[in-house]
Amino acid sequence: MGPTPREWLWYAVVFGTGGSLWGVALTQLLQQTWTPQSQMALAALAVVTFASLFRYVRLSDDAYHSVYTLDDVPLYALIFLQGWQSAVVVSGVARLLFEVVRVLQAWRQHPEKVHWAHVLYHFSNVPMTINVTAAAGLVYAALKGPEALMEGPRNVAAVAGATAVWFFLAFAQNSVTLTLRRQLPLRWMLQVFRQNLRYIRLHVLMLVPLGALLAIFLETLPWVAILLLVPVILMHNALEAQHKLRLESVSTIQAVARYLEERDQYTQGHSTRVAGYAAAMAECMDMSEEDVEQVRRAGLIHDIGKVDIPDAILRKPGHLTDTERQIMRTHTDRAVDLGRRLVSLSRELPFREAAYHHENFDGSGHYQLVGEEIPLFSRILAVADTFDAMTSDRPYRKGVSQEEALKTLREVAGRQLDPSCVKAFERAVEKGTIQPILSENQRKEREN
Amino acid sequence: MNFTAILSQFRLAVTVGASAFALATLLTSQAPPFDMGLLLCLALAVLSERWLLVLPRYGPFTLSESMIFAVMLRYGPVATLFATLLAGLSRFNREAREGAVIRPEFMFYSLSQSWLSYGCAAWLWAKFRGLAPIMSAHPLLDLSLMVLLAVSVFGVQAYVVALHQWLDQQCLGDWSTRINWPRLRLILQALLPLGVLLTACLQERPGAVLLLLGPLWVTYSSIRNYTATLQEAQQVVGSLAEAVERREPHTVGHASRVGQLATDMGRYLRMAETDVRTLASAARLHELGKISLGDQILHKSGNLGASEWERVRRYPEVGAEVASHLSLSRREAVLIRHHQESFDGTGYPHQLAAEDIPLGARILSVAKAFDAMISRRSYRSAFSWQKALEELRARSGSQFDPKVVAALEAVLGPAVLRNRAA
Repeated sequence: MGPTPREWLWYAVVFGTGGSLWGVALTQLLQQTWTPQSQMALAALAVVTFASLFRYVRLSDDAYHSVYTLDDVPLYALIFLQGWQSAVVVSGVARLLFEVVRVLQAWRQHPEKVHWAHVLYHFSNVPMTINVTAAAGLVYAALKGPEALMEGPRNVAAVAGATAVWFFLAFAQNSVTLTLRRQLPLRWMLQVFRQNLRYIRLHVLMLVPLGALLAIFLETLPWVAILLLVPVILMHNALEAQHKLRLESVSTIQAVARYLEERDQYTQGHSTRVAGYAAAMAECMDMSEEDVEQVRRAGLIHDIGKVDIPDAILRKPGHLTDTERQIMRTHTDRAVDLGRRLVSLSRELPFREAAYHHENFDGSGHYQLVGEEIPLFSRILAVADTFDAMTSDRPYRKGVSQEEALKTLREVAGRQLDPSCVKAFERAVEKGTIQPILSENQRKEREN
Repeated sequence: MNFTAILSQFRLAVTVGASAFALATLLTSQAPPFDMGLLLCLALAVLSERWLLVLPRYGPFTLSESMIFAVMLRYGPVATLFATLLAGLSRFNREAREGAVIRPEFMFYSLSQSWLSYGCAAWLWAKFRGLAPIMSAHPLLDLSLMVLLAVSVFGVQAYVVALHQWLDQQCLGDWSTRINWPRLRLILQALLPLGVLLTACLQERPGAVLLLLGPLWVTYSSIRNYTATLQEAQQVVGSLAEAVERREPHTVGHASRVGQLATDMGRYLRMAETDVRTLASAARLHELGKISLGDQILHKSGNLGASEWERVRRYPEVGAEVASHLSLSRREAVLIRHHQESFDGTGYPHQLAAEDIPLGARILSVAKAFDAMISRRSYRSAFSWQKALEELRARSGSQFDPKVVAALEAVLGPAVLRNRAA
């Protein structure tokens, strides 16, 4: 998809400021007098900047995501040692080379996926880095006193001020670009900003102190400067491991859910379909991408508590006896229990939302939650779950058509289901996002 | 052999040796130059002991190692003695608050043990290098001295800790398998360099210590977050594995009993301690793959049809696939995948034979068979231990690895005797 006019305007601003700042920095740099030491330091830090760009952590799985890179450490060292001009020139060159390498890599691997708009989006990182580095460097230069780095309260404040400016400008620029590129409404910018920050705010803030330490040690004990790799790597690995683990936990639990369905040919694909229906509904309810994703994940795991429920109860047509209903409830109880225990993974594995999908809107369910007391995601899942149960075949009956199922949904709205969720479902049907999932299911069932 | 007596003699010897060394240090060494930096290091050593980190494979550790190392490099043996003691007391204080029972003789032993290693290092450093500013006049010499010192002193410490653990575990198998190499590596690669950085900051620009503490705090909190996430993921998977167990009433507790047995057998067969831990957690999850089996297969007592067999033979694979999604459980996944293989190559899913089957999987298969035999089934009563062992012996060489069956007998040995006496 090509850039929208708004995006073009934004790129013009970013590239314009970045380009002119880089030009100014270069002319001033060329007029400076250089000692061999400062030339060496500049060359070494430039190489480190370029190399450190390659150790990045992707912070989400979306096509347009922010990354956490380590180039700020050497760039800050340059700001503190030689002033903003060196840092700006180095940051621009290093980032440009890095983006070129990345585009070439992508081109070699999947030439069909490389789109010029995407390349432009990636190259906008170059002026954005320049802008941020220049702003932080200028603020530092304006605030600092005559003493050495980190000596005296004024210089400590200068480092803090540069950090603050860099932090907000970097995230603000990034959020605007992401919002525009994902073609989201502008009012979502703040949300994108927050989402960007969620996992990394402290990590990126800490790159500045490490840059300052690098500057100090390069001047005093150059060999100790190498040891700074230890905290940098520790921080980087901890962040990377944390992010990877989140993704892995989700895929593990989803694998469990998938294999659980193999137990019974009649439930094959049920969770995936419920997830699809629920996500389609969430989109129609104007939810953010993140929430839609969470609804989808809740759908994928909503039946996971059924692991130890005997098939005889799961497949029983008609009403369950009291004991059987008791056993059936252990499945929601387990999900509720897991939901209570998960804190760090509560967003990735929404067991709490999954647990309450059997609650009735009028409060006649197991936990007797009424209306809005039931989490919204659970109310959405309830509609999706009911729809899929009706339209799928069972050993004792054929699945009903979409129209009939819709009619029943409307009938039970207000008693069993939330009317607004049923409305959202109807909107999704009108939009045509329900039909593909349903016909895929019907095709499979004809094959069986 | 009376292991408890040997263990307490070992502890006593270490404690007495350390006390003598401490006394000698206090009498002969100079008092440290007392300044704000020392105070800061001591405070950090005490504080960091409160913030325990537990990394999978590395075990528990804290940043106090870095702080004590910094004290050692800059302030000499007497200050190191105080730093070690303060950090140790802070650690026991934390453990007591967490509800652990602190045995005094263990506390003295543990303090002595860590003082011995740091004390030796501090003494050697002060004697041969002196306490002049580090890394400035001869940076490369300083660096190599530090590496040499750290490797030797912490290497010896790792051996002492391993010996203690081996005695504590009734001398099962080989003591050198208890050496915690990952922890040693972590100390040498990360904790000590951080100590050197702290020393360098104090020496060159004390204000810069602030710059170091921020990144350390962030690292600490993201490791904490990582561990919490990992625990939660493991809880979810574990709770599902438990639920699978509950589907067949007679298998309740099976996984944990198998884990216990397999741990002992692995130690007896001289597996490295990290592999023993892998074995234990594989045991916990080894039946997870049964989630994909329907009740009609799971509860069938008669013969299974061909297509049903097909599905049963797939369950180890399913369990392994689920486990392998977590990169930390990749090695568990291998054991889960092969725990139904037979020593002569007639098992499933891959018909591996003999040494091609990972040792851990062979252990799991014996432990699992033993536990199945000594528990009651719907169609038969439980076997006695003797009868179960006889049965295993009869199938050793065909279904089971003879070496592993022998290990089971050795591990059960004293317990079997006790059982018979009772």
